[in-house]
Order: sequence, then C-alpha cells, then structure tokens
Amino acid sequence: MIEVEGLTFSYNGGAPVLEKVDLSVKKGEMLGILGPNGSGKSTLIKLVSGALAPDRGQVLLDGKDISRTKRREIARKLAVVPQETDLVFDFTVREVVSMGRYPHLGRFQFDDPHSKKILEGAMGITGVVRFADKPFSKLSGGEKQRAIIARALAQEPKVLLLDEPTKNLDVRHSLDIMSMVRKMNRENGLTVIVVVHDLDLAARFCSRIILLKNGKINKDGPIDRVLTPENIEQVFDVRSRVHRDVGMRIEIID
Amino acid sequence: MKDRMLLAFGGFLLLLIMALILGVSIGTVGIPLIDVVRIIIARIPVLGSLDEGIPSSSSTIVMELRLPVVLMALFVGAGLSSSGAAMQGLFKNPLVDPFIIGISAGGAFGWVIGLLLGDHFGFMSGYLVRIVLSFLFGMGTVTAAYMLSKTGSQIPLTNLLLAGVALSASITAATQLAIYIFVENPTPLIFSLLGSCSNSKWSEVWTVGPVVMAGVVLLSFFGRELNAFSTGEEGAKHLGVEVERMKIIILGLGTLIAAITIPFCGMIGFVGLMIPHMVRRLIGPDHRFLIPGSALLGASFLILCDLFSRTVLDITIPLGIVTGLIGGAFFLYLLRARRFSS
Repeated sequence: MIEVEGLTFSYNGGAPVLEKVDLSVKKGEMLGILGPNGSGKSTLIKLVSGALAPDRGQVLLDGKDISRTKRREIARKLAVVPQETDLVFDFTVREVVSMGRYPHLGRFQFDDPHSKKILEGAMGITGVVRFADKPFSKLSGGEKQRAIIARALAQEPKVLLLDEPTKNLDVRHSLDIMSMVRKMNRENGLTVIVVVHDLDLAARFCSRIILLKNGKINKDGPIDRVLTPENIEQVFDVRSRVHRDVGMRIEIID
Repeated sequence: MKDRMLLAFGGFLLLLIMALILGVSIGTVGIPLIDVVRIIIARIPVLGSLDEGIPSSSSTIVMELRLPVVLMALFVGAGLSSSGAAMQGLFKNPLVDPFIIGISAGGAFGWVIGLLLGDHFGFMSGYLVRIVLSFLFGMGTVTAAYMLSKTGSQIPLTNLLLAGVALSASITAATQLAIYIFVENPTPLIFSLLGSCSNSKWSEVWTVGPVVMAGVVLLSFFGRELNAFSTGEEGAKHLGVEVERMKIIILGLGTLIAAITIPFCGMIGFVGLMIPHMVRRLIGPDHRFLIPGSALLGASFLILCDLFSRTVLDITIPLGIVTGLIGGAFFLYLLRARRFSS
C-alpha cells in the first residue's frame, strides 16, 4: 500500500530530522508511530502525506511516487487528520465534512446521491450527526476531531494518516477517537498510520509499532515484540513494566 | 438553507435594481422613477415606443450622463467586493481586501506612470496603456509581496499580509512623489486618485464591465477550492487542491477585477472588506455563493455611495472618501465586536 524508501529530510538545510527511513505498510495494518519529542514522528507523517517534499528518497502510494501524482488522485486514496484544526469562517460541521468530497466531484457537479450516502455514513460512524448544523468553530476539541475524521472518511480513503489526533484531548475522548479509528480499521480494512504520544494508547489499539529515535527507525514490529521494557528504556529513557493481564498495559516506573 | 439562499439572492437583485433606478433618477435635475424605467426599457428594440412623451432632455441625461456613471459604480462595486471575498478566503483573514494587500497602491502607481508617459509621448496617451500598467503594477505588487514572504516551499499567509501593507506604503509614497515632481496642477489628478465614477463614459463602462463580470463568474467557479483553504493550505492540499497553482489563479483573477477599476475610478477602499462580511452574515461562508453574492451587494452599495457622494453637498465628494468614512468606522466596529480566532 505504502512504500517509503530511503527518506531523508531536513528543515531549511539544517541537521537531518529523518535519515534514510525505510518503511512498508500493508493494506489493513494499523501502524503506530512512537518516539520521543523531536524524533521526527510528525515530519514522517508530513512526508508520507506529501505535505513536505523529501531531500532524498521517495514515498510510493500504490506503487506510484506521490511527488509525481496529482493531489486529487492522492486525496482519493489518502486522507490526513492533523493534531488540531481551526477554521476562520463559520462553516457548519456538515459543510466542513462535505469538503471531503472535493477530490471526487467535478467542477460543475453538485452533490450527487453517492456523495450524500458517503457523507451520511461518515457522519454516522463518527457521531457528528447530532451537531451537524452547528458552526465548526464552536465545537469542543473532541467534537472537532470527530468532524475532521468524518471529513477524511468522506474522501473514501484507503489510507488514513493521523498525526497525534488525541494530543489535546482528555482520556475519555482519546479512547473514543482511537477505538473509533480501530473499528474502521478492523471492519472496513482501512489502513491506518497514527502518531501516538501515549504508549498505553498505542499498545491498546495498534497492530504494529515503529519506534523512532533521532530520525531513524529504532524498532519495527508487532506490539508485543516492540513494546518491551528494554526497547522503551532505550528509546524513551524511562523504566517500565509491561502487564499482559487484560490486553497489554504499560506501567511507567520512573 | 436553500430557501434562505434564494431569498437572499432575490433580495440582492431587488436591491440592485432599486439602487440602479434611484441612482439614475436622483441628481441636479430630478427625473421621475417611472420615466427612468421607461427610458431604459425603451432601449430594448421591441419596446421602443415606451418613452414617448418623455422630454428628450431627460432621455439624454439618463442615457448619456447618469446611466454610464451608475453602471460604472455597479461594476466597480462588484469587482472590488468579489475580489475582497476571494482574497479573504485565500488568506483566511477577514480583514483583507484589494486595498490592504497592495493591489490598489500598485495599480494607482501604474496609472499615474501611464498618465505621465502619455503626457510626454503622444502615442502612449490612450487609456489602454493605463489599464495595462495599472494591472501590471497591481499584479507586480502582489507578486512581490508573495515572493518576499516565501520561505522555502511555503508561503505563510501572515507574511504575505505584512509584505502587502509594507509595499503599499512605499508605493503610495512613490506615487505621491511622482505627482509632486512631475504634475504641475495636481488637483484634478489627486481628486481622481481619491476615487470617483462621476466622469464615466459608455466606452469605459464597456471596458470595465465585461472584465469584471467574467472575473466574478470565474472566481465563483473556484468556490470549492476557496472553501478547502479555510482549514489551511495543508488541509486544502490533503483534500486534493493543487495549492500553489490555485493561489496564483485566484490572486490573478482577484487582482485583475480590482486593478481594472483603478484607471477609471481611482482608489476606492474598504468596499472589498465590508461587503463580504455582510454577505457572510446573510448566507454563510460558502464561497460558491459568497463571491456572486458579494458582487451583487457590492454593486448596490457603491451605486448608493456614489449617489450620496454627488447629492449630499453642493460639490461632489470623492467616492473613496465616502467609502473610507463608512469603511473606517466598520473596521473599528469589527475590531471591537468580532471575536477573532488567531
């Protein structure tokens, strides 16, 4: 689905933020990207989505180099949910979600029945129907994230990239958002790549984890093999205990 | 929502027709509203006999003096307002208009340069030269602002605004210097720079009108892209918008329909700021409707401003002063009343 080859990137010619990163993501995976601050997690997401252009290396989406692909074509396969979204004008939630149909609609095509169905589905799954007619800018952080995820789903993507989607949310909303994404991953085969700052959240919802350290992939594999006390200490410099009583839980000791 | 939209657009159209008739009717010589309607409708070939019994002097006043002025105000108002709506959408900043990002200052400079060239070289005295120079300098200013604010592959929009403001200040100073040095009797020129439609002729209306109309229609077609810009450039890119190309198209069109008005009517500020605000209040922020809606309301607004400017005192007040007074107050009101999200 996504092949990342030899990706190297630095901001304005400074020290490289990412160095020779190789990564292959298969259809239906839910990949969590973990790492300390400044390890290059968000930059990796920005490169995979094509928001930034790499200094060297390439990103292939369905075998096609994204830097040579039209944005419309990319947007029909890949959607992005940023850490947070602000809107200047008072668009309603419904209007914001409808923007997700942009890559599918012709210039003179107004919302067709298929789009209507997709929009209703996207708003239903994410639970935004209730406040669909409220202005987006009046929503709480969690509601905004739901609406933006609904907009991403309206693009009918095969891959969903999320950059710390729960960064500004409380525990309850974080769990809700992550389990919603996991559900779409399990039930609809949506491929998910998500940057997570919380080890526990990653352990609960991801099927595969990569650990980034200093712009390089330090570990890559299934959660139980990557999230070990040794690896966590090496990457995050904290001691921890891993409990496997109900699913997997990570307890930080210091 | 649909009903509300229809109602609003119906209202805009009705207001425009009323403004048009009032604008033509009122003046040094008053002409009854019904006569105005009859004289104008009589221009439609089949209905040629409708103006029978109306003094031919009224006909001349309406057709040769007032109608071109009113239509010019209509197109200038439409051009500036829809340009403002598009720029506000592109820059995600409700305080932007063609005046603020330097189009007006650049365009005025080009116009004055064109006038001076025309004075010295007879072959350059046609106003096509002035239009072209005005557009080129307007576009040049925006492009310079764009280049100056570019950092790497990104063009942060706040940088663009600051660059626009700074460039406007310098270019306006240059314009004033040019006038101070080269123009012997600057009063008429300064009056025209302050903004006025009062000397408009049919040939000028036929130049500005089609360009503005085409610009408004084209900009409205890019309404979806402008909507996508509201969550940021990166957001627009992820929705499938070719962001850099779209910025150039929208800036180009927005500049064209604002700059074309300058050689004919001078610098008329704040219309492009105020009107989109009002229209957004009425029909919401969707640019597919905001742009044509702003064109319609802006047209009525400027016709009424022009009417006010030539009837309230014995002399004609420059139009730019009227819009400046209203716009300045509006700007202050926005600063106080609006809750800005940064």
